Amino acid sequence: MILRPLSFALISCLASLFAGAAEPPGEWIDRDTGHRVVRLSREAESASLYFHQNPYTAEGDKMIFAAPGGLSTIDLKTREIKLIVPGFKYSVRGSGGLEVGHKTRQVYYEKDGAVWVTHLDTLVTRQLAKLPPDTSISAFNADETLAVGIIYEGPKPTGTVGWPAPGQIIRGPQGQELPFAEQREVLLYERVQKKIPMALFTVDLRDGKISKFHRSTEWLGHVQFSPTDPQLVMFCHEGPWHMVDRLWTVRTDGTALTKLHARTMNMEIAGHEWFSGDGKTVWYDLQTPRGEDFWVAGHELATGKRVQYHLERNHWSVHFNTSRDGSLFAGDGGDNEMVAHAPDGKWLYLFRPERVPDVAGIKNPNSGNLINAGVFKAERLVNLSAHNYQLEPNIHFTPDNKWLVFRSNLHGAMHIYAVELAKAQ
Amino acid sequence: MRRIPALLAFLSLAVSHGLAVDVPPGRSVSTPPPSDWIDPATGHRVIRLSPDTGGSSLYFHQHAYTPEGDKLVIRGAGGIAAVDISGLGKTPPKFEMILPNAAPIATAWRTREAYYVDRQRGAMMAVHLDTKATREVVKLPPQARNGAYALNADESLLVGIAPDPDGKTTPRLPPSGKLEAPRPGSLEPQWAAGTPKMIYTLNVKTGEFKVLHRENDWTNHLQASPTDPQQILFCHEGPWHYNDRTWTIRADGGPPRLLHERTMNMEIEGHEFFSQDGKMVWYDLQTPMSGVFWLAGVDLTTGHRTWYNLQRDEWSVHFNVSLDGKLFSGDGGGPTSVAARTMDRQNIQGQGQWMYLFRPVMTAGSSFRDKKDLIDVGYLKSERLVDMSKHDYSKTTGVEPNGTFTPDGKWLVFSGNFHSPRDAGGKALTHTYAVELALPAAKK
Repeated sequence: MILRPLSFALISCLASLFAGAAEPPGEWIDRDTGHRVVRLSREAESASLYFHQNPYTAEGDKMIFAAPGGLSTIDLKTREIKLIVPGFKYSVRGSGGLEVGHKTRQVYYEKDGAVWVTHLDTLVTRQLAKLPPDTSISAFNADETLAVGIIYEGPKPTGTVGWPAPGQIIRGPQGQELPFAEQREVLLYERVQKKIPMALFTVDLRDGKISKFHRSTEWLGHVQFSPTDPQLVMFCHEGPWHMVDRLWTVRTDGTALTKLHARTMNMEIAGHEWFSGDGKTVWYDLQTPRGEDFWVAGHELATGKRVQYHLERNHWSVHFNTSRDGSLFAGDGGDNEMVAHAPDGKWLYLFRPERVPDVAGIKNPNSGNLINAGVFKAERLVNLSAHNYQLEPNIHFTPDNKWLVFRSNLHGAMHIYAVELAKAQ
Repeated sequence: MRRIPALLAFLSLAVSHGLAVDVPPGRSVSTPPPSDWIDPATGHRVIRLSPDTGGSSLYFHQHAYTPEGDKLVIRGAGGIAAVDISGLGKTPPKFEMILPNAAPIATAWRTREAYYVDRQRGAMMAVHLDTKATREVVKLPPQARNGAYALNADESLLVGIAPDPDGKTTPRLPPSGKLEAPRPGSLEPQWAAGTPKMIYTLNVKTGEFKVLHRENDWTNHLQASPTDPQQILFCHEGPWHYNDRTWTIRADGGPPRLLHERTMNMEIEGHEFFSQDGKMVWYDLQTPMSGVFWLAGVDLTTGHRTWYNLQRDEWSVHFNVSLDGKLFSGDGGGPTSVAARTMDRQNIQGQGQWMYLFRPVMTAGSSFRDKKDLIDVGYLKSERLVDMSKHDYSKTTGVEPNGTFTPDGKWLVFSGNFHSPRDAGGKALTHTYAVELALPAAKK
């Protein structure tokens, strides 16, 4: 991918002449980091996808995003934007419902109670399957034959689960009003305790067949398909992270249910998991314990081998991500009210992983079974001090490993930006 | 490395003593080092317990106080010395040589005595700290003449580690498959030697000698529980990152028990010690080495674990615990300590030259949803007690401070050389100090 900052800057300069002073800059060099940032979106309130949703074609030339008018593509070379699914609504608090195919140049999505596919170039659109009530689609598999989703088998909770209703105040055991974050924890736990029957299901994209394959009274969520194994699903048990065993995989026939991380410590938390580009490793945010000691942990699915990269408090990020080749990691930072309470954490970060060397080359006799420890060397990419983290930036490496795409309100309205990983000259 | 500006140090000494004794290294001095001052960096009062000729406190896990808590045993002028600390802070500490040419093993748990070995006589001895009278505790059989000793809680058994005369040397190679080139300070050669060792008990009344355990490891760091007469703690010495280090064994039978199992490459633990009620064993834990720091504890009865997180600067070469178990201490680390580099071996500025008081704080919240036993976690909230920036932590030219709480829980006793001149070889005289835990202003 070649982004052409100059031409884009010209366009956005021209655009700003017509749009007035509210138009955010089209390009700048971050004064604190020396990295070039370009704005990819033209319309305010454009959103890039949640961090683990695939937004790119296999060729890496196009990226989908949600513009106010509907689902759109951007050509990463020419920066040309095209509306492809008018009226498609995307929630920046959601984590599912659409993905670009891993093989074909099509986007799969849920809309109006059905699963649809639209070709990114020809815009040919087909309905693939009708969905039963009380369902939602999460992800699409590696060979584009299945969608996976969640179905409620009991009463579906109403309202925004885990958020206080307007005027509702949650109090602690002594009758005191709890801080907002703790009110949310209480509500999340109440939802867990309701033990509402749910199931994971697949939709066969060829014949529309619905198959339930994992039933549970846990609160199922964050459902993802492996980018390489068409039958492997990862999902989580939602709820307060310190109470649930969050990370699980299961196969689409319901077999091989596997807990990926077992807690050893009170208040140890794990979450915001995602697959590596080759589908071999699941990575996740690990804290031992919560808010104290920070890691990005990896679990190699075939061998069970573990690796943990340590992070400084300021480098903790609400979401992490990996490049397709697995050589680089990135984080979208966090503000001082989030779990790390980082005093200076509002940055986009590039992380280069380094393993801990063995002393004098000596390995422990059992080191094959041990967690491999390492450390992230952090480089700041973008100063996000003006960004409000109620919107989570949700980084994606571009397929050529040269840019990091994110959404931000650092200039007011939400826009999509890309920061160049190489420093500007 | 953190240094107080010389002028500040000079002023503080001048203010508290009316004299200037901030002696530059290498110059001898006739003026005695300060004996009582307020540390300008921490505000805590420090009192020197050793005489002008020096004296060092015992290793951190050696019992050093009388049962009444009025006297402290130190090493002074090549002998066993006692310091009367009953009026500490009000009257000057009284130093008394108890027995020249003897090395204290520990004070007795129940009597006003200190134990030592008389090599010529081949016996474990005790000296009374008031009357200076000596007595033979038990004759040492030939196979128990060398090694480490501890007296158990009811003082019925002498526990020892010694070369096993019936064993065979079984050399071994480190996991890399070859020995590294010899270098000073390396623990590997002695680890690799594989000489036979035994842990034994010697009944002090009957003289019955009983071997509890034989091994070809580097058996070391012997301790007896302060409360359970049968409970013994020991370690496998050597490179911490491939050793399973901390073990217990019971005098009344059973195999050794490993107290901590590594889960991570380069995870290290050591410098273990008993809580004063004998229920817990505490140890320095790093997950991994030089990366993440804990003071970890395991309840010997239930196996339940408690880990307290520490900041890098707060890591200490030795930790300790107060009699009531509510307070912990640390003696900091030298500028080239394990905490003065990152986990990927970058040397960083070695902070952390302080004597610390630690108050444990538990992590808020509970994950105990499914009744599975989890590690209880928290962190140690630290308070700096003494500026050790001029202290030499080296084991060859200086001394590790080795803090111990006084039995009344009001002072921390430690060794220091921050006011000592260095000799031609750079060696510093060791002194014993006590720092008051309460700040002067906070006292009523």
